Parts: sequence; structure tokens; C-alpha cells
Amino acid sequence: MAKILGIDLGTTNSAMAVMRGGEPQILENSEGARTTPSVVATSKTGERLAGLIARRQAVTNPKNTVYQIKRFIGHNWGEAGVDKDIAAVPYESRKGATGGIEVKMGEQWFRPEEVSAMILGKLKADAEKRLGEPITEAVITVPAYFNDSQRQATRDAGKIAGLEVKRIINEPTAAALAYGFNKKKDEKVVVFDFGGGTFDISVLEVVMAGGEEGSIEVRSTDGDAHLGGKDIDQKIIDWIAVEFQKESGIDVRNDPLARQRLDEAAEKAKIELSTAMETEINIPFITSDASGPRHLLLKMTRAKLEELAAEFVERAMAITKRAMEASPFKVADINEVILVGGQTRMPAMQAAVEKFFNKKANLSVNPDEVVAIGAAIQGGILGGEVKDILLLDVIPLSLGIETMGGVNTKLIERNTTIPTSRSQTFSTAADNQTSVEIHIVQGERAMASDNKSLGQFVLDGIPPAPRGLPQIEVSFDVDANGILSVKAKDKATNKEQSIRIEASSGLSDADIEKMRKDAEANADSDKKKVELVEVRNAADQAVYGARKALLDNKGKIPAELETAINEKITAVEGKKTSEDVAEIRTAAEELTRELSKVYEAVQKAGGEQTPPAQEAPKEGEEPKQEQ
Amino acid sequence: MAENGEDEVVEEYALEDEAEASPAALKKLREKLNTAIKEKQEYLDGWQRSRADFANFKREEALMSGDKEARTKANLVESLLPALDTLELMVRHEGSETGKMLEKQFIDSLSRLGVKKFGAAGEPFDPHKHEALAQKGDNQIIESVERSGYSVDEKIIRPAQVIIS
Repeated sequence: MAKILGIDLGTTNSAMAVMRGGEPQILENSEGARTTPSVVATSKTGERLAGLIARRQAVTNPKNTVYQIKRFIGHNWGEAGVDKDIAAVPYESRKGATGGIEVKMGEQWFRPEEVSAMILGKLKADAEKRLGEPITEAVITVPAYFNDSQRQATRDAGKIAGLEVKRIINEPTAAALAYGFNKKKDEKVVVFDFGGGTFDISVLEVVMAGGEEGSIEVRSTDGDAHLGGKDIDQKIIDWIAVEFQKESGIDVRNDPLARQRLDEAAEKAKIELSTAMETEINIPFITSDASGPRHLLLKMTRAKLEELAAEFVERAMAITKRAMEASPFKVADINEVILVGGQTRMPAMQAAVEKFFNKKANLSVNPDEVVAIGAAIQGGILGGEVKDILLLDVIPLSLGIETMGGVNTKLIERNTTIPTSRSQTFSTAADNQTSVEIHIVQGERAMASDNKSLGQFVLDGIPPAPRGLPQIEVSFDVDANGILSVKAKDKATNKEQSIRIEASSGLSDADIEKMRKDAEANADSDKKKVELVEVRNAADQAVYGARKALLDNKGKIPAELETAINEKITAVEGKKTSEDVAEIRTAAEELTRELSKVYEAVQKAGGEQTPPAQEAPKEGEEPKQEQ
Repeated sequence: MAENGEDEVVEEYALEDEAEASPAALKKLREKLNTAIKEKQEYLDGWQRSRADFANFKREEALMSGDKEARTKANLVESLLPALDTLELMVRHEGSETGKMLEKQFIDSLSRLGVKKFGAAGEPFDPHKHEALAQKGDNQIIESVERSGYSVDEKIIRPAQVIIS
């Protein structure tokens, strides 16, 4: 069962992903980047270049470097809108034999699908290198507005590249798949895609619940093929240049080298202002005049960026309104909004979208990668790797047992994928303890009593033994439905007891969230409680060890030392109930120090040493190292 | 093995429906059996693939943690490049001796971490290492380097920005 490559074949950049271990994963190209420029070239030496390498030599070779070929694929020569795009690019084009468009690279003419095939070929080769296996099948995404001719041409491109295109899916549908918004029938999803050079808005409806792409239909689509992040970059560049010109009298936009640095600085500033309120644009030696080198140092605020970007955000929202009006739905009917394209990281854009739809937009899947991720998931569905029965869940809250001092000892942490099993070995707290109580709790709080009690049972028949010696293995098993089974087994006798709990999966989302928030809010006080329990347990341990040492070495220890140790034992017992961690710790340390004199005394007496027990007394169960 | 499996399943069903030994019932049973065998193979394939994916993932994680050090180093060096660029510009425009010394010290320290600076006038243009900013003629030779390129342990972290003669 070979992997099916999911490909987002973009106008400016492309990306690819596959399913691995049941999860979609973006594949890096051979240059180590997660996106690949959709650029192809024939170099001056006749070498075929694709991706980043092709883009780097574009300036030296403009006539033979083809980019934005997606604007021409599936179109006929002379079609409305295409002539403007043709005029905007430096490479030659002509009418093909069948009425389509052909572009020139080197001495040859190529159809747009042949150029796209070169990009796909590079992605295929890079994917094969990364995965170490051949890739012969793919799912490729296209804009929702692509007609049959454009879709077929994209399929042909795949074929030319040596890929059997298992499915051509819509980009907004892929985005919905990436978020898993294909599970509820009648769910309405809006995909707001503001990329580098194009803006697309789509209104989708889930017509059939399940994993198939055919279950999502596009109810309306709109956009602007010449509206994107590059427009905002240009506005920033113009602003920087104008500000600099005010103080220097020089328009750096006329210098192509300075222009390049401005370009980079503008993009960097835009990205920084997504998280910071202010940024510094620092371009030393940007130009020079009679007085010598000139430096550009400017502060840009987020407010300024938003002012510059406002017209583009407004245009996008106007198109969004149009798309909603063309759909059968009202704004209030929309269940989910997905943001696609790097430009949607801008807070002002997110805010505009969220205000329009009156709900939070989904941005958690990288907006530059979400379409490729969705294509990979579609590939996974077609290849059988993604099935509803294989959609694994996670447990929302940790599962544990109550141990000595009332502490919650977690066995399975929250967000662990299920089904899963975990085991840990515990022991007894008191000498000759013949039964242990297993109290199962669910939640994140440090003390068992602050969490939800799921059930309890008793394992008895433990042969009498000093505390800490018996080995009781406690196993937690959660099945794919979230049903918890807990088993406790005495390793010495193989006696076991178990319980099955269904309630662990019955909490509402609100309950889960509340329990998590409670844990966060009480983190500090819980930490203190646990510290107190631990220091009391350690004190208990010290007392047990001391008593055992006195008993085992009777007759070998001088009377004064024995008295001193007993006094320290009394002091520790007295302090154990205190709430003062430092006090208890100090008393225990003093006892331990006194106890260390027992060794010297025993050695002097010339007898065999019976060192004090290392394992301390326990009032409950104490976790041991997992075996 | 398959035959034994078949016998077991048919026998199990037969025990439940002893009265229904009709050809129709047998046909139904065979269909169920074929479906079960098909599903079994599917699940086994899926399970094996999952195991393989996990084993591969563990292997890659191990490789990546070795890779992680290289990436961290590359990221750190990349973050220092703007300051290095300014130093280079300072030396170029102001001919500062102090600047030259500082630049050399910087480069020497970085070279001990496997960092190399590249890009020089007179070299042939190579898009694997260079990014062309402007072209003055038809030659494919670098006339000047506007911004140096850097590699870490032979891996290019930033191409050199050049003007072609």
C-alpha cells in the first residue's frame, strides 16, 4: 500500500504532505523548506531548474523563468482576463495548436500543464527522497472556481510528472478536511483564503457525514485573483520609502538593490507586527549621497500597518459578503470559519473575519500548510489509511490512583491517544498490611480528593511482610471507546482483582474544561499540598528507619545515642502534624544525622552491622520504579 | 492455516444454526466468511503499516535529534547574520580598520563552529549558492556581492545576493 502524496499546487508556492502513523505530515523539499516556489526555468546552460533554485536566478534569466503558470492552466488563448496576466509576465507566450496557451522556456514551447508537471516532478522526487519509497499516486488541490478544463489540465500535469492523480479536490474542501469538519451532516463551513497573490472565499456544506470528500459541497465561491499579501507588502515598502525620503531626500525605490532590502524588511516587519505592537525597521547603508552612506531606521506600529492594510482587508470582507449573499445561508447559519494563507495571521484580518461571522476563526493548523494537509488526509482516505474506525481519540483528563498521603498518582496523562495500557508497581504502607485499596480518580489536581472519583476496589490476601516489600502491579487499560479497566495484581501470589469503569468517558466538554481550569488556578496551592505530603512521608520514613535500626542493633548502641535518637524520633512525630514544611524537614534531617552515628557505634562494637532500612514506612501505597 | 481457519468458522456457525443447513444458508455463510477474510487482511495490513510507521517514526526521531543540534546551530547563526551584514557594509563603505578586525574576529569564531562565508566577484553564477539581484550583461559571472552567503557544516543557510556582470 504505497503512500498517496497530497499536493497543494499553488500560484506562487506549493506544498506537499503524506499520512504517517495515521497523521498528516508536511514533507520538506530537498532544500529543507516546507514550501516550494512554483517557479521553473531553463538556465543559460540549458539546465532545467525548479523551485527555489529557479527563483534565485530569475533576475538573470527572466525570459526563461516561468512563474504563476496556474493563471494559464486550462485556459484558451484570448480568454477574458488572461491577456492581462500574459502582459504582466516577462516570458513569451503564444496560442497553441489546439487554441490553448503555450509559454517559451529556452528554445522550446510548453503547455501550462507541462510546466506544472515540472513543479510536480520536483515535489515527487523530493518526497521520494524523504520517504525512501517511490511515489506514484497523488491528490492535487485546485481552486473551487476551476472549471472542467482547468481540472483536467491539472490532472494531465500530474500524469506527465509520473503521478496517477487519484483525486482533484477543491482547496477549501481540503482545508475543511484538515480540521475534520466533514463529520457532521449539514455543517456549514466558510474558508477564507488570503494568500500571497490571490484571495478566495468559499462557502461549503457537509452533505454526508463521514470521510469522503464527496460529502462536502461548495455552495458559493468568490474572490479576487489579484488581491494578496504582496499588495500589503507594497504598501509598507511605499510607506518606508516615503518616510525615508522625507528626511534624506532620496527615493530608495529607484535603486533595485535597495529595493530588495526594502522588500525583505517590509515582509519581516509585517510578520513581527502579528505578535508585537511595534517593530523597528533597521537597514544600515541602504544608500549613499554626497554626505556619505545613509542608514534607514524607522519604527512601525501595528496601528500603522493596519492603516496601510485596511483597504485590502475591506475589499476581502466585501467579497466575503458577496459570497454569503450568493450562498443559500445567512451569516448566523455558519458553523465554522477556517483561515488559510499566511496573510491571515495578521490580527486585523482575523478580527475582521471574526467580527463578520461573530465567531472565532480556526487558525490552529498552519494556514500556509492546511491545504496540503487536507490533500494528504484525502489521500489517506482513498488509500485506506484513514477510516472512521481508525480515528483515534485522546483521553481528556488524566487517570490515576490515590497513593500515600492522599496524592493523585497519575498513570495515564491527559491527551494520551487511546487505546492504551500503562502499568506501575506499588507497595504497602504498613508492616503486615494484607490488603490494599485501589481508589481510581480522574483529573489534573494533585490531591486525589480534589479530583473525580471513578471507583475503588480492594485487593486482599497479601502475605504479611514488612512495608515496602510486596509488589502490587496496578494496570490501567483504556479501550478505543474510553472504557477504563483497572487491575491490581500481587506479583508474589498472582492474586488479582479488577474493575471496569465506563464513567471515565462520560464527561461533557464543559466539565472537562472546568476541571482543567481548576487545576491551573490551583496549581500553586496543590504544589504546596503535595510538598507537605512528601515531607511528611519522608519524616515517616526516617522514623521507621530509626526504630528498625534501634531494634536490629540492640546491645550494640550506647545508651546515650539510643536516648538521643529516641528524642529525635519524638520530635519528628510531634512535628509531623504541623503544616510547616521546613519544620518537619529539619526535624527529619536531625534524626537522620543522629542515626548515622549508629554505624560508627556498631563498627566500634565490632559486631555485624544491620544498617537502618532504606525504605521508609508508608501510610498508604508508595509508587516504586516501573519494572 | 487458512483451511483450518475456514473449518473453525464454518463449524462455529453450524453450531448456532444447526437447523439451517440449506444451500442458501451455506451461501450466506460463505459470503460472510469471504468478507471476514477480506477484512482480516485489511486490518492486518493496516496494523502492520501502523507498526512500520511507528518504527520508522522512532528511527527518524533518533536521526532528528542528531539533526536537532545542526538545526539549532543553523538557526543561531542565521539570527546573527543581520549584524554580520552590517559589519560587512561598514567595512565596505567606511573602510574602518576596527570594523575589519571585528569582522575577522566574528568570522573566525564562527568558522570554528563550521560556518563558512562564501560569494566573491569573478565566480561563475550558481543558483544553488547565489541569488541574482540584477544583471548588467549576458555573462554569468558575478560582478559584485551585495550580501555574502553562509553555510553551516556545508549546508547553505543563506545564498549570496549578487550582481551579474
